Amino acid sequence: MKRLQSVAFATWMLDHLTFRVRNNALTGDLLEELQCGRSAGWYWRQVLVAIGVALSSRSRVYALPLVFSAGWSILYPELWFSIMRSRFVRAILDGLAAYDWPYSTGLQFVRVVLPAALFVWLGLFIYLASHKQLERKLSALRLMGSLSISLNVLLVALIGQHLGDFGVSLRDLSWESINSHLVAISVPLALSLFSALIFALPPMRQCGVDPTLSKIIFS
Amino acid sequence: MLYFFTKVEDMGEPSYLGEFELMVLLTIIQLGDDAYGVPLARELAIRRGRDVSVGSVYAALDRLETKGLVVSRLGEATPERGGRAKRYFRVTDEGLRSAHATRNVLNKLWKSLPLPGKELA
Repeated sequence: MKRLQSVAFATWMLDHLTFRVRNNALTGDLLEELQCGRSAGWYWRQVLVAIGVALSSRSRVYALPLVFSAGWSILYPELWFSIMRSRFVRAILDGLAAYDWPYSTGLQFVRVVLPAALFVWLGLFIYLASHKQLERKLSALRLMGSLSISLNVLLVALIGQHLGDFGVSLRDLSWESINSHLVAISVPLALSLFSALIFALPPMRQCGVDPTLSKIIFS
Repeated sequence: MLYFFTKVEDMGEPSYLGEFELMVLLTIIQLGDDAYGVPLARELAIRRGRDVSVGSVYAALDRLETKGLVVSRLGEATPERGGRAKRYFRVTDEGLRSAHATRNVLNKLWKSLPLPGKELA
């Protein structure tokens, strides 16, 4: 009885902690071996290894997008300052500042969000272009979803940042203050890009499973 | 932009395989129609002379399937498997090409392997 409970708990762990559609096949294989005389200890070892392997491969999948998002977002403040310093942009901003409320507020919002969103999307396309395998698996719908999620996360993060008051105080223009402001600007962008990339990644349960191809080859 | 929306079949250079992936691929070929998790792990354990976890075999199969080198289909579900179906694997043409390409590269590299005790160049 105790052995059965132990096996049932291990099976539950396998089903819930490996994030794979092939769980069923793997669990079935392990149960088959158990029926053939393997011990509960062997079963537990197999389950723990399977969970370890799944977690390790999952974290490897996320590591590169995370590093790329952080690296790409760090570039934004520098780019943002150089764009804002240009005469053309300053002339546009001065023109926009002449509008009355509520247009002035709306335009101010667009001035912050639009370049940030474009920067995030540019990062997304660069990442996809450099990962042909990922790009090939990406459907139009998934790409649209990815762009939409990045925008939503960006908006939420920017609003959160605004409420958290990470702005630069004109009375305190020390290097530390500017630096923390730059880092604060990068965080919403990194979150936005990372969420877009994660959404664009093919889910584990769909990896490489092509029913049509499978049917042709096995028929 | 359309480039991003198009699923392109890549017929370029074959990808090379890692050691364990190559072993799994060759074992699938060897087992033929009976290539699913348990026999694969057993055969690999016999050939390698040490235990192989079924989970790591499935992880390698996942990678191979993602690369399009193997395909899988669901088989029968039996009571001793808790009503869970078997998943049978088969090597694709691309998988076969990849195995040959890996063997060719390894063969070239083996030629420069000195005998034990001889000085390295």
